[in-house]
Amino acid sequence: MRVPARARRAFLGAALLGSGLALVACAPARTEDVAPATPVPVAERVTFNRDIAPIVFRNCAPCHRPGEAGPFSLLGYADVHKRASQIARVTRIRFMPPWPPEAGYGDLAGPRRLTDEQIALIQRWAAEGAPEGPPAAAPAPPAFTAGWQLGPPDLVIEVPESYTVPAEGTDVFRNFVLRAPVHGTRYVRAMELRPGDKRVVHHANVLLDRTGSARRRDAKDPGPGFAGMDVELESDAFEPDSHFLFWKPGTAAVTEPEGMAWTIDERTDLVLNLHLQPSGKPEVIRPLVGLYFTKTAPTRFPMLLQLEHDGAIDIPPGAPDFAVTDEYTLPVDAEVLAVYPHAHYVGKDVQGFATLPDGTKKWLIWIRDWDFAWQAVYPLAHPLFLPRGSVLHMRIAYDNSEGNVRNPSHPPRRVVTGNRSTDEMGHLWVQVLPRQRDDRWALQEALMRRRLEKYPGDFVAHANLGAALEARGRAAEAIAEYRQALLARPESAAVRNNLGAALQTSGDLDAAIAEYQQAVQAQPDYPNARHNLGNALVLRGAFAEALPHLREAVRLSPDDATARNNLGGALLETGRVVEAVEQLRRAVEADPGSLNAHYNLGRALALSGRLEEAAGHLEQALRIQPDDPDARRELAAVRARQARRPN
Amino acid sequence: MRFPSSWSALVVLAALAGLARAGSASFTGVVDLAGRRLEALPLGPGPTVLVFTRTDCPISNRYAPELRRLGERFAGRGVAFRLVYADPTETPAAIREHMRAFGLGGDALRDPQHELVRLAGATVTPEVAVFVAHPSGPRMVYRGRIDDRAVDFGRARPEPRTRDLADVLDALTAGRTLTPRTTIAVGCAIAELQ
Repeated sequence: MRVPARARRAFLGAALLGSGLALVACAPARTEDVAPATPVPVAERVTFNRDIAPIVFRNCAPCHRPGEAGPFSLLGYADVHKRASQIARVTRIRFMPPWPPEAGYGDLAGPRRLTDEQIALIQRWAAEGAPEGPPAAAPAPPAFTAGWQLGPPDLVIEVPESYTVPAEGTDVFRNFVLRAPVHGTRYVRAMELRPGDKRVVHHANVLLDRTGSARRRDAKDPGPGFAGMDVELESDAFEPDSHFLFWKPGTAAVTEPEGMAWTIDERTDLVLNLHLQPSGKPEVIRPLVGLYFTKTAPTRFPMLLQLEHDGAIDIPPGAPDFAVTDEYTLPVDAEVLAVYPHAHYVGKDVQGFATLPDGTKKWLIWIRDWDFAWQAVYPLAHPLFLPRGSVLHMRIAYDNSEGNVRNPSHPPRRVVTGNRSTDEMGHLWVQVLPRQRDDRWALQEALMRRRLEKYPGDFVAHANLGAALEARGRAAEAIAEYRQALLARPESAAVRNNLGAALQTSGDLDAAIAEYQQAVQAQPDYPNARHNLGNALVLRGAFAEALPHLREAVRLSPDDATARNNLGGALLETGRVVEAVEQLRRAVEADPGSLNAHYNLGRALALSGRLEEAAGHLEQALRIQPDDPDARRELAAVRARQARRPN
Repeated sequence: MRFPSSWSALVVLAALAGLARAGSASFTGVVDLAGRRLEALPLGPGPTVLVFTRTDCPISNRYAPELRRLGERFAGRGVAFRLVYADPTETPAAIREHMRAFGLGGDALRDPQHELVRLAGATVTPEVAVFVAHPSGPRMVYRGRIDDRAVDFGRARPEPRTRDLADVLDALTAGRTLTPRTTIAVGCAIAELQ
């Protein structure tokens, strides 16, 4: 029989994103580009129609309109006039429009920030009684696209049950697991979220889970979804989902750059991580996710680098300026595409910058008055090229004093790292695009080595470093790293399984089987370990011994064509031809492009005397791989039998 | 008006001129949702709390559960609560719908000519004013915030440290006489009438 050569691996902690992102920018109004405010001579009156409407329509109306996140509309003179003094105040303190980054520190896309001149105009207008001015000067009211911003999505997924946000209390962090009803691999070029009431859903983050880990967690938590500010997922393939799939109220769809579509298949769960703010009354939400597909497979593969040093967060009560830093040296050339800083309520000052090998300092972002509620992903206006050897820096300062009104503890108490709102985090996620897809292994290796500097003996770092080294063809080093990881966490089925796979790759099948067996013992429902153990036993020729594991692999992953193929093959080898045909038929159905499944099914059918059908599948195998010698030989044998058989 | 950058120490304790005497005014345009005119303050022998609010102010709305609790807590102690909607464009139907949605029971007043706004000196929503009967005429003993949770736009404590309105009502219902005082409330500006 034929089985795929590569064993299945696990990767850990590949996707860990914070609790989502904020409404910093809303969809732009379809208005003409307006020139920056020009100073109005002191002798002239500032009027709404000529001076203020262009500013408000462009910067405020995208969110301040019906159905959007702003609590009231700002679509005409009457709306704006009655709030003139408040608009003057919130623009003066730069509370609105919300744009926390400092101007001039990082080249961020779409800054929604008023100029000093614009703010001064608004102050004058309000102080002078907020006059309307001549109608002739009035710009057209802003026009917006209704409904889905990119038109009807190719696929709309709804959260299975609605969820009720309580009327009051602290912010709610809730995660919903959605399965996309797709068959085979689909490439997603854009995503739009319709979360329900945008005045309640403050921001959202979508993570991709390809192992069902979030689904298992959801099952343990009562009610729709599960609680948690931050989500950690296991990944079983190093195709890191290195896209910031975040949503902020009013945003148009999250559209990926050319060639950077992300993939989903029937095993992919979308994990919707929502930050919800009580509004004063119970609010029922039922989010919708709209996906837009493309036929074009991705050609450019970014990666998310996480700078952090959560282990160093131990902030004494009262400390007004406690800083945590991290740095990361790029082992390859890369472009920075976007940044996402993340801290909780005690965070104060967030800095991200790069130093180039020649000593030049390039700012990525600086937020001087960190506000958890306004966190966001910030794409750069233009990719920032960083040559190999450049160092990325993160510096996050915390204010754990009584003077920080957002401090969740009163009086302040010692703050350490954690997932609760009274704990802290300090992360700077940097999305980089290396020159080549495989460069990501070098980035990953460097990331994990840096992690080991911060956290000697760390399980995740050793495990992922092992995987990175294995991918770079350094099996012996990889095996050593996996063994280090297992010292920290001997019961890890995922790493046992990976160690087995690495041993198998390096030719030690007996040692591999021993590790797979331990993995299965540690976690009997771990499909990868069952799969690999079954396969390894098949390779050893122990078909009967392999069967129960392969049956279990199929039971745990019924849609997995490879598992069906392997089970079918083992059944065939043990003489269970009828059952083999059944399993192999399902393997072919699940993956019509599988050479192995067509080949094995052809053989099984030939053995049961169904020569015509057998020939058909062997021919199909040869269409997939025209020079496959096994399929040619089997087909020739079948044809010969057909020729001998009387009609 | 200037706004200092830090508000945390800004409990203003001064009794303002004109603050003490209030009830002698007669109201021409203050009506309840059925159109009945408000005659005088306080509404009964006990204290009356006016809660200035509007239908679309998120800061006000987030106080709905707290207002409900305060209402329940002090209703049996002779305190009357009235929501005051001061935006003349908010109709009785819209106000009823707002009260239903946010579970705000009790009665509401409309103040389209800002008579109560001026009398109390309210500037934002939510802001409260407490009136009591006094031998020399009705007087306002407190005006300002409900509690100190909101510190500024975008700056709120997770929990209030001072519950100003509850403290005032506790003192009054315990029979104590209060020196009139005000605090600065944070919220949505009450627009001046044209």
